[in-house]
Amino acid sequence: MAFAFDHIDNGVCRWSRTEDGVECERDETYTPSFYVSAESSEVEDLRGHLSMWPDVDGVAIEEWRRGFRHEPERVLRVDVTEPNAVRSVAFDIRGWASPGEYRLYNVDFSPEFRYCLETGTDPTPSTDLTTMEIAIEPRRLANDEVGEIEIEDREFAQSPPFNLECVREAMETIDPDVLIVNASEVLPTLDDAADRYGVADFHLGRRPGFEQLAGRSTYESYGQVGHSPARYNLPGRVIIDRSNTFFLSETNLDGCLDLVGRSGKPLQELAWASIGNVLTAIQIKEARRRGVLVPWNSWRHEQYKTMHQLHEADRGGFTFAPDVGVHRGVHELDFSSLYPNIICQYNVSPEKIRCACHEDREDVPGIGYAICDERGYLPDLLQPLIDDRDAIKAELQETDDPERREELEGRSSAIKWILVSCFGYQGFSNAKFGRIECHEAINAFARELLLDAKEVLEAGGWRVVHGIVDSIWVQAVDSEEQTPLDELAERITDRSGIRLEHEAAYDWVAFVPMRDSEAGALTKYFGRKANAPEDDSPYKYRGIECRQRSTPAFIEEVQKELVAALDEHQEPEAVCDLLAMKLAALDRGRIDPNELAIKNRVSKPREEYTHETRNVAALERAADLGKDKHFGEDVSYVVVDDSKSSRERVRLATEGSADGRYDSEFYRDLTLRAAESVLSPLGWQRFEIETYLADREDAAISAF
Amino acid sequence: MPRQSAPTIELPTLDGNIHLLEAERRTSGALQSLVLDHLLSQGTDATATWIDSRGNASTQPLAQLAPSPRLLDRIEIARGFTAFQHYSLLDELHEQVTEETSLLVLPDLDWFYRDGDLNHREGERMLSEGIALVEDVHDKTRIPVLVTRTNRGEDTSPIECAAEEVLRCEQTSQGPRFTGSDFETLVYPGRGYFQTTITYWNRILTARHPELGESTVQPEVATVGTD
Repeated sequence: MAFAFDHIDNGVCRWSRTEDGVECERDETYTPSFYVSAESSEVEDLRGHLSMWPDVDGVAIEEWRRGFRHEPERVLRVDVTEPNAVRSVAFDIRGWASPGEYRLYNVDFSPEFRYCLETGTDPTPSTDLTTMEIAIEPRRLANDEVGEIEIEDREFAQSPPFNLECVREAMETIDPDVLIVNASEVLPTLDDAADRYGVADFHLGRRPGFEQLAGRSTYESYGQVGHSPARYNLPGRVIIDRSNTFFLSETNLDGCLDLVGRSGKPLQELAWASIGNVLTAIQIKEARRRGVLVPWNSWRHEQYKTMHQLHEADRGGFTFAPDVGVHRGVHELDFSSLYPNIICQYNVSPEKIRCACHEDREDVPGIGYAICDERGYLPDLLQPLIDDRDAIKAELQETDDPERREELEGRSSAIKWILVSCFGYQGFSNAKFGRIECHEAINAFARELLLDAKEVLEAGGWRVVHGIVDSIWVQAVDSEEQTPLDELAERITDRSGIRLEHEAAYDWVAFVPMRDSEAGALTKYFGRKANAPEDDSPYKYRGIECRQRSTPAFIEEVQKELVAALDEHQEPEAVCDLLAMKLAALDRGRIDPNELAIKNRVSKPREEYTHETRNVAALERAADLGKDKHFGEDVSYVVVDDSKSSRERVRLATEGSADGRYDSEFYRDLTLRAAESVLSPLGWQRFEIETYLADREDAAISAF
Repeated sequence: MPRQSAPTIELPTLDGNIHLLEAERRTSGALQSLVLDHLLSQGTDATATWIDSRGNASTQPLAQLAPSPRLLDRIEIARGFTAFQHYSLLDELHEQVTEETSLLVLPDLDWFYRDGDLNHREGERMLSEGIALVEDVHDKTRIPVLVTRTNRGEDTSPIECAAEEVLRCEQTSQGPRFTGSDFETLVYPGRGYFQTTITYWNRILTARHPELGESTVQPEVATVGTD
C-alpha cells in the first residue's frame, strides 16, 4: 500500500514499497472536493454560478449528513482543480450571502490526508520502510555551512564537496523511504550547497523537485507560543523533522504507524501533526464512514442553560488540596484512563448529550443534563482505543523480545496521547466535533467518581492526603484498622465501572507549599517510591525546579542531591549542610558555566518585549552575532552580570566560555529557591534556610 | 430616571431601550449588578437572556453577587466560543425570547468579530448584521437590551449607533457613578473611599432589595492550593 502521496502537476504520485523496491503510480483522475449546504435558500441555486467559477472543476448534488445528529440531506459537492484552491473558493462562497447562510464542509484538510480520505486509500505501508537520518548542527545551518554532516550517526567533517558526496552516496545506497532530519533547514541547506559546489546528480527526492509546503511560522496554543519550522516535501520520501514532530519524539516509528492506520493520515503529515489534529483525523475518518460531513466553521452554539447550571458545570475537576509536609507510607491510586472511560461508560457524545428525546431526565450529576439512550459515536470511536491499549499492555507483560517490546511500547504511548486529549478537545473552541456540554459532563462525572472513591477509602480506614483529577493519595489512619487497599480499589471499580488501580506506594512523599504561603501547591511534590527496581531512581519529582525545562543542569543536580539528603537524614539541618557546600563551590567559581545555562523559549519578537529581561539581553546578543532568534525558538544563556540591563548581562551558551565567568550571586539565589522547594515541606522557608546558613558560617569563623 | 424607592442608594433603571454600558475597567461588577438589580426589580417570574462572549459570565462573581441564589435560575445563558457560534446565537435570539424575558444581555458584543479566522470585511459584516438581528428582536418586543463593547474604536460604531442610551460608569473618589443623557447617579454618596469589589456590589444590591433579607450568599470557600 502507498505510504507517500505527492501532488505534482495536477496529479497525485502514490509511492508504495514492494518486495524489490519502490513503485510509483500516478493518479490523474483525482480532484479534491468540499461541500456546501444552504440554510434558507436552495443549494441548487449555486450550481450555475459555481460551475463557471475559477478553479472549480465541477459541481454535483449529493446526499450527506451535516452532523452526527442529522439525517442525510441534499448538499452541493464542489470539485476544485487542486488542494490549495479549496480554501480560497470556500472563502468566496462563505461571503456570497448573509453570514451563516452557506455552511461549508470538508474544507481544511491537509492535502495528503484529503487524498487518502476521498479515495478510500489506507496509507499504512505494507512492509517495513527504509529510514535514513541526517543531522547538521543548528549553528552551521544558520550559516548555510556543510563542513560537518552527520549521516546515520557517523560524522563527516571533511571538505563540503566531500561531505555532500557522502550524502549523495548514502541516499543512493539506502534509498530511504523515510528521511529523518534534525531540522527542516537541513534540506534546503544541502540542496543549495550541492548547487554551489557543483556536486553532480545530487537529488534528495526520488524525482527532481523540491517543494516548500509551509513557511516558518508561530502560533499560540493554550497560552503558549509555539514555533513551527518550515516544512518541505521531497517526491517519493517521507520527511520527518525531529524538531517538529510530537509523535516521533514521544513515541517511535511503530507508534506513528499505528496512528497512521487509525487516522488515515500519511506518515509525513502524521509526524508533524499535533495530538488534537490526529484525534480530529480519527473522528473525520469515522464521520466519513457514517456519511457525515466535517464542518469548516463551528456554527453550532451551546444550548441555553441557567446561570445556576453554568455555575455548577464550571467547577472544573476534582481537587483535594495536598496536606503540606512529609508523609510516610503514602499510596497513590489512579483511575485508569478516567476521561475516556467516562465517555464510554456514560455515553458522553456530542450528538447524544442534552438530547431532545429525554429532555426531562437528569443523567449528569450536579448539572442535570440528559444523555440519550442511543449509543453515541464518540464512545464507539474510543472504546477500541482503550481495548487495544489494554491488549498491548497485557502483551507487554508477557513479552521479552526487545524488538517486539519497543514496538508495543511505542504503540501504547501513541494511543495514550490520543486518549489523554479527548477530554480537553471537547472544551476547545475550534474543535470540529467538540461540544462544551460534553466537557462539562465529563468533569461532573469525574468529580462524582472521585468523591465516591474518597468516601469508600475513608470508611476503610484511610486518610486522603491529596487528590487531583484522576488520582487519590492516601495514608493509613493510625487509630483505625485498614481494609486492604486492593480490596477497596476493587470495590470502587465495581461500583463505578472504571478500574481504580493501585498506582504506587511511597516510603514518603513531601507536598510542597506554594511560595510565600502555607497552602499546598496542587502539583508540586517529591517522594521516594517503595520497592523501586534497582536500576531505576527511587525518587519521583513533580512540579519542582528540577522538572522545569529552563532550570540549569547544576541547579537540577543540586536539588536532586538535596532530596536524597532529606531522604537519608530526614532533618533540615543535614540538607542545609549539603546546600552550604554546593553554595561554596558556586561562590568560588568552581562550576562549569555550561552547567549553568538557562534555556528559555522566545515568546515574542524582540521589539515586543517591554522590559529589559535576561531573555531580551540574550536575544540582542544573538542578533549581534548574526544569529537572530525567532520567537518560539529556544535561547540558551549563562547569566554573567545580573546587575547590568544590557547585552553584557548574559552570554549565549553557544559562545563558549573561555574565562568561565558567571554571576555567582544570581545562581546562589536560584540554588536557594530550589533548596526552599525541598525544605519548605519541613517548615523551612527561605528565611530559616538563610538563618541556618549564616549561623553555620559564623560558627566556622569562630572555629578559627 | 433615577429610582426613587431607595433614595440613598441608586442604580439606573433599564427601561425598554437598547442601553450601551461603558464601564471603566476599575468598576468591574457594574454589568452584573445592573442585571441582578433589574431582575430583582421585576416580578419573580422575570428572566434575563444572556449571550456571552469573552468569559463575561464567569459564574464566580455572579454567584457571589446575587443576593439570592435562586436569582441565578432566572438568568438563561449561552456562550459563544467562536464568531460563528456567537452569530448563531444572535440569529436565534428571537426563538429564545418568551413572555417572561425582561432583559437581553450582550456583553462585549464585538469581541469575536475581530477574530483572525475572519477576514476583515467578514468581521465587519457579521457585527453589523448581528446588531441588526438584535434590533429586530428589540423592535418587536421592546424588551430592554444591555450591551457592552470591547473598545470604542470606529469598528464598533454600529453598536453605538444602535444604542438609544449610553450609560457610563466611572469610579470616583465617592464610589462608582453612573451618567446617562439625562441623569447622573452616584451609587452610594458621601461615605469616603469605595472600592468596587464584589462585596461592595453585594451590599448595594442587598440594601436596595431588603425584602431578600441579609445577604445569604457566603463567598465560596476558595480551593486551597490552586496556583
